[in-house]
Amino acid sequence: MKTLKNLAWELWLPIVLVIIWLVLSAGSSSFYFPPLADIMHDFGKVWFFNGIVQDLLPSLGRILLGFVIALLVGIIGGILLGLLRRIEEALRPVLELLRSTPGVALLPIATLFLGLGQEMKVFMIALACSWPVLLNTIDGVRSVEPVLLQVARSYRLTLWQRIRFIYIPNASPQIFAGGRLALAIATVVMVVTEMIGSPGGVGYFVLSTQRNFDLLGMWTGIIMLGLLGYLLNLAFRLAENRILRWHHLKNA
Amino acid sequence: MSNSPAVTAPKSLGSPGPKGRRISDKPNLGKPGGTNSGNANDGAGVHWVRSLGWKVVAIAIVLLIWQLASLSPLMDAGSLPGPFAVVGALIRLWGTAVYWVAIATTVKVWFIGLAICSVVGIPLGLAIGVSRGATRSTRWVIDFFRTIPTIALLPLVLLLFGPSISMELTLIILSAVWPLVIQSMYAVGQVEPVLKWVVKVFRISWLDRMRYLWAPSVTLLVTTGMRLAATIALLMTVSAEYIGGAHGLGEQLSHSENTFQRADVFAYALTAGLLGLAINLVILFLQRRMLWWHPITRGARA
Amino acid sequence: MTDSLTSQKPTNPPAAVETLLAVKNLAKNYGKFEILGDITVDVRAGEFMCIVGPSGAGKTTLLQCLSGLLAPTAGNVALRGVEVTEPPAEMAIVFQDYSRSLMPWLSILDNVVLPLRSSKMSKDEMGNKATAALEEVGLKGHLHKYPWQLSGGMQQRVAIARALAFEPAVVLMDEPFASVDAQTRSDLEDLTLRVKEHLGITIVLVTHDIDEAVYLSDRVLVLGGRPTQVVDLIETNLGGHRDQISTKSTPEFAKLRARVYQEIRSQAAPGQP
Repeated sequence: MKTLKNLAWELWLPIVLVIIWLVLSAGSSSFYFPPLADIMHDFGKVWFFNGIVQDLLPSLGRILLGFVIALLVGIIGGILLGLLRRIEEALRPVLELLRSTPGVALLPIATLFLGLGQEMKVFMIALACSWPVLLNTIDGVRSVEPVLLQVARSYRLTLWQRIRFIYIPNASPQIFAGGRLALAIATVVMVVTEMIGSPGGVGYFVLSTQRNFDLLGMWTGIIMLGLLGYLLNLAFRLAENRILRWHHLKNA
Repeated sequence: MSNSPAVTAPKSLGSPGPKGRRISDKPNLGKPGGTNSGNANDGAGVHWVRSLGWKVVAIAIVLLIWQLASLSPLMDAGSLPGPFAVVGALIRLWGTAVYWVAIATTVKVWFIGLAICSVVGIPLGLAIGVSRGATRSTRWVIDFFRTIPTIALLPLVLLLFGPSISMELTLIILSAVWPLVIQSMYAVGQVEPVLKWVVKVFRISWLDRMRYLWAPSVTLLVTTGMRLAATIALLMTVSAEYIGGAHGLGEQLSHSENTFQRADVFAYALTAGLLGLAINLVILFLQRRMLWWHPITRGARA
Repeated sequence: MTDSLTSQKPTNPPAAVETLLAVKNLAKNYGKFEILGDITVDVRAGEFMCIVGPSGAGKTTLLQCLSGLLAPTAGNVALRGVEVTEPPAEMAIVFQDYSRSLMPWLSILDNVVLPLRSSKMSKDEMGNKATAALEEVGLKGHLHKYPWQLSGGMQQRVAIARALAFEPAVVLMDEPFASVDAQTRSDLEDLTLRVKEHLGITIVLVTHDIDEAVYLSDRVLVLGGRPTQVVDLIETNLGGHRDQISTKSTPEFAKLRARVYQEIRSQAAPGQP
């Protein structure tokens, strides 16, 4: 009963918004804003299942590959730099510059060396996503309670044990926060690289339908990208809630 | 106030004290009350110089690796411009109007976009945050709009507005307003409940509650949202210029790429990076300036 | 318990003393949980009353009902015969958590000045009044420091000064000395006694410390039971001048302490409905 009420609270606005869109766009003759009903009709035709195989799966593969690479590089690099304080301090300006660079600005450089294919796209996603993960991991490793480290020393834990049982768990809330930001960046970079890169992918689909003035197709692509972004974020959040249960319980 | 004089109005409270600094006076920014002794400052100074030295060394090493890579036989000759070539290109660009106009255009559009986002996003977020019903009702919608890649709308917006400022602003606002809305929503929840009681108990006026309780309390998260929004807005500005062809740094980047001026490509990318860094530093500086009293700024462990 | 209930009678002589704060049949529920059940007590003008009870007895809830921060489920509170529905102008509160009840972005002086701003006073008057209040609690030399630059005890003094500058008829204190060390605690207790004597205000102080309650009070209100009710109301008769050492070593003090202690322990005993 209570959850039903909660659900009603959260769902009424989205439902109202969709209905407003449906009603306002019904019978619309605007070239740019076709009726939502038509878009939904086309959505089924375009995406089930040709579109999913041709464009969605490649996009999904790319973003996951790039994201996982970024996580690995960011976490491992972050732990190393977090432990090697001197080196991290010296590298700070370089890291800050690279982090602040809008990812798109590096796109021409990446295309110079990697071309317009899969490698460039995955590389760009991984590159742009690494920074939030890396910097948050460094902060997380740094913020370990000094008392815990004294405990670790008094029990003569090895370096690996300290990393495994103290540094990583302590940094994990911040790693996840960085990961969530990285995922948002990943979807943007994926769309951008697909738009300028070789054919294939939802981003490419949206731009090419626009170029052919197939506005209905374009709208289905936009909705698909919205769903993709939302569902990826949802999946990440579910994983976070599972892994960080101790953290959320502690803070509740 | 209708205090009964019989019980209150004690004599000592009526006695004149030294003229104190009034609440209306500007609080002195920066750290009040010198707590650092001279010795501690000297130690910090030496440390600071040494750490600066290491930073220079690190930058030099990075540049050296870059130079070696550009000269390495593995690369096609000239395909990777070395740091000297890039700095040369940068210096040459500094002499051109195109370069400065591009920066100015990008900064202008970015700033207008961020300003609109703040004017819309902060009040909206605060208003939603105050009401529990509004928070619950909008959770799903905000979550959805926040996570969808707004860049997907670029083709549509491009059709509607062409490669113009309106096109850029639409994309900037649709993507950068969300962090501001969300952080402002959270900020409302961060106001210390005991202080909310305090202002009630001491019957502090509505205006004073705004100025002395709400404004300082929400500053941390609102400015954090501002930093996020600024970064996203710059990314969207450069993207819209690069793909959509609006004027600015992104357009120059794309132009240099298409005319195979590789050193210029690097120079523009570096410029965009420095611009991003500068924006970040300025906002961080302002944030610390406004939050001089906060444990985060004071370096205290909470 | 019959013995303690009868003891309530002689403590309420008819008329003579003015009732400042009248609590009548006060009850408070949080949903299904009954916290306070039917509390009736009169606070006299100019007295120091301490409220003691086992932890979880809803002492803080009672204080918030007294101040109008919380609406009671039943019954009412009246200040000079006027029902309290929101924090009245003649009342100030000192909260337990000094680190959270002062504004870290305002200097000590400005923290004390802030509540005065809604009055019609001139800026100079406000400054003088706040300075005088800070002087009263011994913080004259720290006007322009910030709360986080002071020790816990000093921060609580600021909170007390803020309440005094507000010129209330009654000050409510919610476990004001619970988070400071023992030495600071007795200093603050004596400070509170002195200030009360000097300014002639009424103080209602909530505490879980029996010694503190007996030492400070003119009357001790003992709470207990579930939902919480008045167990006893004890006149201490320890005299006007009190001293941490001599007062606490008198036989009267020991007797009072033993009595309150027993009453609280019998309430907290397991198996109690």
